[in-house]
Amino acid sequence: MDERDLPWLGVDVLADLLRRGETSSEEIVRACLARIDRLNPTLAAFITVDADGALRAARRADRDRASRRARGPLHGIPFAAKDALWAKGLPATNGSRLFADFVPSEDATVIARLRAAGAVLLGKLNMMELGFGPTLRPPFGTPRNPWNIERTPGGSSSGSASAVAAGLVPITLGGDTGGSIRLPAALCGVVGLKPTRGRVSRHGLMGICPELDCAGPLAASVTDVARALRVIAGHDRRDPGTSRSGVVDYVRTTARGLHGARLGVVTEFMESAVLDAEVRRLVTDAVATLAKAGARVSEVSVPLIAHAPTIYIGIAEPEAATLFRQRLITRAEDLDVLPRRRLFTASLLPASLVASARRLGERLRTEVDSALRDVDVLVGPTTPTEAPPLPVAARIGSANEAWIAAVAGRSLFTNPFNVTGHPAMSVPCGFTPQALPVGLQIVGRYNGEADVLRVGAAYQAATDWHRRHPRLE
Amino acid sequence: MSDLTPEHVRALAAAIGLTIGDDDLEDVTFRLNATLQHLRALDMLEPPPGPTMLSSGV
Repeated sequence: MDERDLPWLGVDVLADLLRRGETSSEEIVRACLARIDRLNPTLAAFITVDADGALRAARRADRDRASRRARGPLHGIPFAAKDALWAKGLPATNGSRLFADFVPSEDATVIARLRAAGAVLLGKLNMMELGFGPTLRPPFGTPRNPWNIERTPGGSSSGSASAVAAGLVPITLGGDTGGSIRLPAALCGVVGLKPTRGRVSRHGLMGICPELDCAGPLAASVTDVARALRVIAGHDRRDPGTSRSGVVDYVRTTARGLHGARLGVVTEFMESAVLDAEVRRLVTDAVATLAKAGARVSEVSVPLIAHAPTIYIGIAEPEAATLFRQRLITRAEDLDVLPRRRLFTASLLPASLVASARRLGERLRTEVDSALRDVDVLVGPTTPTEAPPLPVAARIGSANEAWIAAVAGRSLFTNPFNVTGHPAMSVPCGFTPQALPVGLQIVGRYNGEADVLRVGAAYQAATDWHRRHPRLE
Repeated sequence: MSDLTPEHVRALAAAIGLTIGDDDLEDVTFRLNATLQHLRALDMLEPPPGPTMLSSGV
């Protein structure tokens, strides 16, 4: 096998090759590093590449395997993490000059758990500044979409998605407060999962709203996402918000097929005025594929979901303003223009309106729970459009334009499930005429990741979108 | 309800220790007015206070 193919292989194949001694963790890591060397100057997916640390860890993994101490299917497999997650001894910039010199002294729980499972950390990934929306002049390079480098990869976990799409690394970790895992996953044509609130520890995640922040995995296949989730999920005493409910063998659930599965297509999403016709067509085709594979499909309505972006802004943005308040007072000029203006705006929202948004968020959760009473998962588009061009400076000339800028980002269909806490995953479901990928969003009940993964895996078994690669070399 | 002016916004910011520069002021004013308008509209969706809310009050 050509060493250059190694970064494209999924965990199943890599683990099998490692087991049979046909490759080593060091060879896989070297292949990933070589690809990063060639492509990262264009894609700016990585902020920090820890080549020495990764090679040391890979050799250790190979020695452990040789002495029959392999720790499971992720043993010796490379991964990388959004720069909002702490990795001991490596910078965690949070995509911002404000944190350019911050080097954490411990791992985020999700990174610690992947390392404990034998996975090898390659480095830290680029992101939108503070995870807070488009960044016009990213301090660590402009992340680009591997399918078209003049288009955005989305965000905020930009590098987490583009690195997988470009075959730089098989598994990454991202953070998702309003769609920051699912949006770039959809725009880059990879799988990204936001787990149920409390399913995965936030310890060591530099988020923007602790109540809504989640860490989660991205990969080319649903099965690999399931493997990573199996390792990172579960109670963590350092995050009191984590659930004590048991962690399921998510990989096993991906093999169950669709027979008897009930899907609810969210009417408000499919009839949204901002949904691009081509995206609607691809999502409709995906639902038809799922029906053909054995799922029962019905339409469901979640009326309050149309107001979710406003509810989300009312909850998340004032929290972010509080979190970064001191830095906004002392170092506002070090922030990119758009995050700075959004944080100023959020700082001035009155508490009475924020409380109202919170109460409606609870009602929205009840509505989503009700919609999930008669179906196993909800489905719909992840984003309203394909990947747009890279963000450029634009003067806002009215309150209406300001609102469009605030909510018409691509998070309209994703932030409702941060507000409610339900698990949600984006799976690639086709390409637009511009050869840009589109994502199908699958939403489950609380702690219903197994259902979400089952449906996603069945869809990937019936399609080959996830096996297509961008031409970069 | 009338919109806030840039002067209002600058004063509100100053009250909590923030200094909004001239380059940002107009943009932040538009954003704040838009967000306030949409958040106020959420009030129309809220049901009147019920027994649960009253009994859970302090």
